[in-house]
Amino acid sequence: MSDEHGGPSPQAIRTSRLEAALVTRGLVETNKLDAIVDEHVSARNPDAGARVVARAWTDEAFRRRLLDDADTALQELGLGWAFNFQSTRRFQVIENTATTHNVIVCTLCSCYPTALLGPPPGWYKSDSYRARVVLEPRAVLGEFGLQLDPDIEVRVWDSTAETRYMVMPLRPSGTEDFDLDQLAALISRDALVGVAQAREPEGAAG
Amino acid sequence: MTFEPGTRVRTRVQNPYGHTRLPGYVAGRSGEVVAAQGVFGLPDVAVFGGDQVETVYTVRFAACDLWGDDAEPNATVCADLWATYLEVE
Repeated sequence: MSDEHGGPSPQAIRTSRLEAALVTRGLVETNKLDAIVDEHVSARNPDAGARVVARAWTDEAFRRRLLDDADTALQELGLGWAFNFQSTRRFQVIENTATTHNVIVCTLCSCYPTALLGPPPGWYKSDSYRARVVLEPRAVLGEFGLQLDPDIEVRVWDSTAETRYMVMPLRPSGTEDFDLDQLAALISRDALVGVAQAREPEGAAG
Repeated sequence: MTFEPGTRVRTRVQNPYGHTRLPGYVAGRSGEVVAAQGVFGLPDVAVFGGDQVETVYTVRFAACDLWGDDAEPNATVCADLWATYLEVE
Protein backbone atom coordinates (compact mmCIF):
# COMPACT_ATOMS: atom_id res chain seq x y z
CA MET A 1 0.00 0.00 0.00
CA SER A 2 1.38 3.36 -0.93
CA ASP A 3 0.68 6.61 0.75
CA GLU A 4 -0.67 9.23 -1.63
CA HIS A 5 -0.06 12.21 0.59
CA GLY A 6 3.72 12.07 0.84
CA GLY A 7 5.87 10.74 3.66
CA PRO A 8 6.28 7.14 4.75
CA SER A 9 3.12 5.08 5.01
CA PRO A 10 2.09 3.47 8.31
CA GLN A 11 3.10 0.13 6.76
CA ALA A 12 6.56 1.44 5.90
CA ILE A 13 7.03 2.78 9.42
CA ARG A 14 5.90 -0.53 10.93
CA THR A 15 8.23 -2.49 8.64
CA SER A 16 11.14 -0.25 9.52
CA ARG A 17 10.56 -0.65 13.26
CA LEU A 18 10.15 -4.40 12.92
CA GLU A 19 13.42 -4.64 11.01
CA ALA A 20 15.20 -2.51 13.63
CA ALA A 21 13.86 -4.70 16.45
CA LEU A 22 14.97 -7.91 14.69
CA VAL A 23 18.44 -6.53 14.00
CA THR A 24 18.82 -5.25 17.58
CA ARG A 25 18.03 -8.71 18.93
CA GLY A 26 20.43 -10.36 16.52
CA LEU A 27 17.70 -12.34 14.77
CA VAL A 28 18.58 -11.03 11.32
CA GLU A 29 21.62 -9.36 9.84
CA THR A 30 21.19 -6.21 7.79
CA ASN A 31 23.55 -7.33 5.03
CA LYS A 32 21.71 -10.63 4.59
CA LEU A 33 18.38 -8.82 4.52
CA ASP A 34 19.74 -6.42 1.89
CA ALA A 35 20.92 -9.38 -0.20
CA ILE A 36 17.43 -10.91 -0.12
CA VAL A 37 15.78 -7.64 -1.06
CA ASP A 38 18.32 -7.19 -3.85
CA GLU A 39 17.70 -10.68 -5.21
CA HIS A 40 13.92 -10.37 -5.16
CA VAL A 41 13.37 -6.75 -6.01
CA SER A 42 16.30 -4.52 -6.89
CA ALA A 43 17.89 -6.95 -9.36
CA ARG A 44 14.69 -7.14 -11.39
CA ASN A 45 13.65 -4.48 -13.85
CA PRO A 46 11.56 -4.11 -17.01
CA ASP A 47 14.48 -5.09 -19.28
CA ALA A 48 13.42 -8.74 -19.11
CA GLY A 49 9.88 -7.93 -20.20
CA ALA A 50 11.14 -5.68 -22.98
CA ARG A 51 13.45 -8.41 -24.29
CA VAL A 52 10.58 -10.89 -24.37
CA VAL A 53 8.43 -8.52 -26.44
CA ALA A 54 11.29 -7.59 -28.79
CA ARG A 55 11.85 -11.27 -29.48
CA ALA A 56 8.14 -11.80 -30.16
CA TRP A 57 8.07 -8.84 -32.56
CA THR A 58 10.85 -10.38 -34.63
CA ASP A 59 10.01 -14.09 -34.40
CA GLU A 60 6.47 -15.00 -35.44
CA ALA A 61 6.68 -18.58 -34.23
CA PHE A 62 7.91 -17.42 -30.81
CA ARG A 63 5.14 -14.79 -30.69
CA ARG A 64 2.52 -17.50 -31.17
CA ARG A 65 4.09 -19.73 -28.52
CA LEU A 66 4.32 -16.80 -26.12
CA LEU A 67 0.65 -15.90 -26.51
CA ASP A 68 -0.46 -19.55 -26.31
CA ASP A 69 1.70 -20.65 -23.38
CA ALA A 70 3.92 -17.97 -21.91
CA ASP A 71 5.23 -20.29 -19.18
CA THR A 72 6.87 -22.57 -21.74
CA ALA A 73 7.94 -19.82 -24.13
CA LEU A 74 9.71 -17.87 -21.38
CA GLN A 75 11.76 -20.92 -20.46
CA GLU A 76 13.15 -20.86 -24.00
CA LEU A 77 14.64 -17.46 -23.17
CA GLY A 78 16.19 -18.70 -19.93
CA LEU A 79 13.49 -17.00 -17.88
CA GLY A 80 12.20 -20.16 -16.25
CA TRP A 81 13.13 -18.70 -12.86
CA ALA A 82 10.19 -16.37 -13.27
CA PHE A 83 7.87 -19.10 -12.05
CA ASN A 84 9.56 -19.74 -8.77
CA PHE A 85 9.32 -16.11 -7.84
CA GLN A 86 6.97 -14.86 -5.15
CA SER A 87 3.44 -16.16 -5.55
CA THR A 88 3.52 -16.19 -9.32
CA ARG A 89 1.88 -19.31 -10.59
CA ARG A 90 1.30 -18.56 -14.22
CA PHE A 91 2.14 -15.95 -16.79
CA GLN A 92 0.02 -14.72 -19.65
CA VAL A 93 1.03 -12.20 -22.28
CA ILE A 94 -1.81 -10.26 -23.86
CA GLU A 95 -1.32 -8.65 -27.22
CA ASN A 96 -2.45 -5.21 -28.29
CA THR A 97 -3.95 -5.21 -31.77
CA ALA A 98 -5.32 -2.64 -34.20
CA THR A 99 -8.70 -3.04 -32.50
CA THR A 100 -7.91 -3.84 -28.84
CA HIS A 101 -5.76 -2.10 -26.25
CA ASN A 102 -4.98 -3.95 -23.01
CA VAL A 103 -4.09 -2.61 -19.58
CA ILE A 104 -3.43 -4.48 -16.32
CA VAL A 105 -4.41 -3.80 -12.71
CA CYS A 106 -4.97 -5.62 -9.45
CA THR A 107 -8.04 -4.15 -7.78
CA LEU A 108 -7.72 -6.45 -4.74
CA CYS A 109 -4.10 -5.63 -3.87
CA SER A 110 -1.15 -4.96 -6.19
CA CYS A 111 -0.41 -8.20 -8.09
CA TYR A 112 2.05 -7.45 -10.87
CA PRO A 113 4.43 -9.36 -13.17
CA THR A 114 7.35 -8.48 -10.90
CA ALA A 115 9.57 -11.27 -12.20
CA LEU A 116 9.66 -9.66 -15.65
CA LEU A 117 9.14 -5.99 -14.78
CA GLY A 118 10.67 -5.51 -11.36
CA PRO A 119 8.72 -3.99 -8.48
CA PRO A 120 5.53 -2.11 -9.39
CA PRO A 121 5.53 1.69 -9.50
CA GLY A 122 3.76 3.55 -6.71
CA TRP A 123 0.85 4.63 -8.88
CA TYR A 124 0.10 1.00 -9.79
CA LYS A 125 -0.45 0.27 -6.09
CA SER A 126 -2.43 3.44 -5.40
CA ASP A 127 -6.09 3.26 -4.42
CA SER A 128 -6.84 5.78 -7.13
CA TYR A 129 -5.42 3.76 -10.06
CA ARG A 130 -6.91 0.49 -8.81
CA ALA A 131 -10.37 1.95 -8.38
CA ARG A 132 -10.48 4.13 -11.46
CA VAL A 133 -8.87 2.08 -14.24
CA VAL A 134 -11.69 -0.48 -14.19
CA LEU A 135 -14.37 2.24 -14.08
CA GLU A 136 -12.99 4.83 -16.50
CA PRO A 137 -9.97 3.32 -18.28
CA ARG A 138 -9.98 5.84 -21.14
CA ALA A 139 -9.89 8.74 -18.72
CA VAL A 140 -7.03 7.14 -16.75
CA LEU A 141 -5.05 6.34 -19.90
CA GLY A 142 -5.62 9.91 -21.04
CA GLU A 143 -3.96 11.14 -17.85
CA PHE A 144 -0.94 9.02 -18.80
CA GLY A 145 -0.94 10.81 -22.16
CA LEU A 146 -2.44 7.92 -24.09
CA GLN A 147 -5.43 8.87 -26.23
CA LEU A 148 -7.17 5.95 -27.93
CA ASP A 149 -9.59 6.12 -30.85
CA PRO A 150 -13.21 5.43 -29.85
CA ASP A 151 -13.33 2.35 -32.08
CA ILE A 152 -10.48 0.68 -30.16
CA GLU A 153 -11.76 -1.57 -27.37
CA VAL A 154 -10.07 -0.96 -24.03
CA ARG A 155 -9.70 -4.26 -22.20
CA VAL A 156 -8.74 -4.09 -18.52
CA TRP A 157 -7.23 -7.22 -16.95
CA ASP A 158 -7.84 -7.46 -13.21
CA SER A 159 -5.25 -9.88 -11.75
CA THR A 160 -7.59 -11.36 -9.17
CA ALA A 161 -6.16 -14.91 -9.04
CA GLU A 162 -2.84 -16.64 -9.77
CA THR A 163 -2.13 -15.48 -13.32
CA ARG A 164 0.15 -12.50 -13.84
CA TYR A 165 -0.39 -10.50 -17.00
CA MET A 166 1.97 -8.51 -19.17
CA VAL A 167 0.95 -6.45 -22.20
CA MET A 168 2.65 -6.82 -25.58
CA PRO A 169 2.48 -3.37 -27.17
CA LEU A 170 2.16 -2.82 -30.91
CA ARG A 171 5.45 -2.67 -32.77
CA PRO A 172 6.05 0.86 -34.01
CA SER A 173 6.35 1.39 -37.73
CA GLY A 174 9.75 2.27 -39.10
CA THR A 175 11.50 -0.39 -37.02
CA GLU A 176 11.74 -3.12 -39.67
CA ASP A 177 15.55 -3.02 -39.65
CA PHE A 178 15.97 -2.76 -35.88
CA ASP A 179 17.81 -5.47 -33.97
CA LEU A 180 16.61 -6.87 -30.63
CA ASP A 181 18.49 -4.31 -28.52
CA GLN A 182 17.14 -1.40 -30.55
CA LEU A 183 13.61 -2.74 -30.30
CA ALA A 184 13.83 -3.43 -26.57
CA ALA A 185 14.94 0.18 -26.02
CA LEU A 186 11.55 1.34 -27.35
CA ILE A 187 9.60 -0.71 -24.81
CA SER A 188 9.03 0.98 -21.46
CA ARG A 189 7.65 -0.47 -18.27
CA ASP A 190 4.51 1.59 -18.79
CA ALA A 191 4.00 0.06 -22.25
CA LEU A 192 4.24 -3.43 -20.71
CA VAL A 193 1.57 -2.45 -18.16
CA GLY A 194 -0.57 -0.93 -20.91
CA VAL A 195 -0.64 2.73 -19.89
CA ALA A 196 1.60 3.72 -22.82
CA GLN A 197 2.49 2.63 -26.33
CA ALA A 198 5.94 1.56 -27.41
CA ARG A 199 8.03 4.60 -28.26
CA GLU A 200 8.30 5.68 -31.87
CA PRO A 201 11.88 5.47 -33.12
CA GLU A 202 13.73 8.77 -33.21
CA GLY A 203 13.46 10.55 -36.51
CA ALA A 204 10.36 8.63 -37.51
CA ALA A 205 7.91 10.60 -39.56
CA GLY A 206 4.67 11.38 -37.80
CA MET B 1 -18.74 -27.41 -12.40
CA THR B 2 -16.86 -26.71 -15.61
CA PHE B 3 -17.44 -23.81 -17.98
CA GLU B 4 -16.52 -23.88 -21.65
CA PRO B 5 -15.20 -20.70 -23.28
CA GLY B 6 -18.14 -18.69 -24.63
CA THR B 7 -20.44 -19.69 -21.76
CA ARG B 8 -22.49 -16.86 -20.31
CA VAL B 9 -22.14 -16.84 -16.55
CA ARG B 10 -23.30 -14.73 -13.66
CA THR B 11 -21.13 -14.23 -10.61
CA ARG B 12 -22.62 -15.04 -7.24
CA VAL B 13 -23.50 -12.38 -4.73
CA GLN B 14 -21.68 -13.14 -1.52
CA ASN B 15 -20.24 -11.43 1.52
CA PRO B 16 -18.38 -14.22 3.30
CA TYR B 17 -16.87 -14.03 6.72
CA GLY B 18 -13.13 -14.23 6.21
CA HIS B 19 -11.71 -13.79 2.74
CA THR B 20 -12.62 -13.93 -0.93
CA ARG B 21 -11.03 -13.06 -4.25
CA LEU B 22 -14.32 -12.17 -5.90
CA PRO B 23 -14.11 -8.38 -6.19
CA GLY B 24 -17.29 -6.63 -5.06
CA TYR B 25 -17.64 -4.68 -8.31
CA VAL B 26 -18.08 -7.88 -10.36
CA ALA B 27 -20.34 -9.71 -7.86
CA GLY B 28 -23.77 -10.48 -9.25
CA ARG B 29 -22.70 -9.44 -12.77
CA SER B 30 -23.12 -11.13 -16.11
CA GLY B 31 -20.11 -11.99 -18.25
CA GLU B 32 -18.59 -14.46 -20.68
CA VAL B 33 -16.03 -17.16 -19.95
CA VAL B 34 -12.94 -16.49 -22.06
CA ALA B 35 -10.48 -19.15 -20.90
CA ALA B 36 -9.54 -21.56 -18.14
CA GLN B 37 -6.40 -20.51 -16.24
CA GLY B 38 -5.66 -23.77 -14.45
CA VAL B 39 -6.49 -25.33 -11.11
CA PHE B 40 -5.75 -23.47 -7.88
CA GLY B 41 -6.75 -23.55 -4.23
CA LEU B 42 -9.85 -21.51 -3.37
CA PRO B 43 -8.68 -18.64 -1.13
CA ASP B 44 -12.04 -18.46 0.66
CA VAL B 45 -11.35 -21.93 2.05
CA ALA B 46 -7.57 -21.71 2.30
CA VAL B 47 -7.83 -18.79 4.70
CA PHE B 48 -9.33 -21.21 7.23
CA GLY B 49 -6.66 -23.83 6.55
CA GLY B 50 -8.75 -25.81 4.06
CA ASP B 51 -7.71 -27.11 0.66
CA GLN B 52 -10.33 -26.94 -2.08
CA VAL B 53 -8.84 -26.81 -5.55
CA GLU B 54 -10.89 -25.59 -8.46
CA THR B 55 -10.48 -24.28 -11.97
CA VAL B 56 -10.00 -20.54 -12.29
CA TYR B 57 -11.69 -18.94 -15.29
CA THR B 58 -11.09 -15.64 -17.01
CA VAL B 59 -14.46 -13.93 -17.33
CA ARG B 60 -14.94 -10.88 -19.53
CA PHE B 61 -17.51 -8.27 -18.55
CA ALA B 62 -18.80 -5.46 -20.74
CA ALA B 63 -18.26 -2.17 -18.95
CA CYS B 64 -21.97 -1.34 -19.29
CA ASP B 65 -22.82 -4.56 -17.37
CA LEU B 66 -20.63 -3.37 -14.48
CA TRP B 67 -21.31 0.35 -14.41
CA GLY B 68 -24.59 0.89 -16.24
CA ASP B 69 -25.06 4.23 -17.94
CA ASP B 70 -21.91 5.59 -16.31
CA ALA B 71 -19.68 3.14 -18.22
CA GLU B 72 -17.23 4.37 -20.79
CA PRO B 73 -18.06 3.14 -24.32
CA ASN B 74 -16.22 0.22 -25.89
CA ALA B 75 -14.55 -1.04 -22.73
CA THR B 76 -14.38 -4.47 -21.08
CA VAL B 77 -12.93 -5.88 -17.87
CA CYS B 78 -11.48 -9.38 -17.52
CA ALA B 79 -11.21 -10.95 -14.07
CA ASP B 80 -9.90 -14.38 -13.01
CA LEU B 81 -12.55 -16.12 -10.93
CA TRP B 82 -12.73 -19.48 -9.15
CA ALA B 83 -15.54 -21.80 -10.30
CA THR B 84 -17.31 -21.41 -6.95
CA TYR B 85 -17.95 -17.76 -7.79
CA LEU B 86 -19.76 -18.59 -11.05
CA GLU B 87 -23.08 -20.01 -12.18
CA VAL B 88 -24.41 -20.53 -15.68
CA GLU B 89 -26.72 -17.73 -16.65
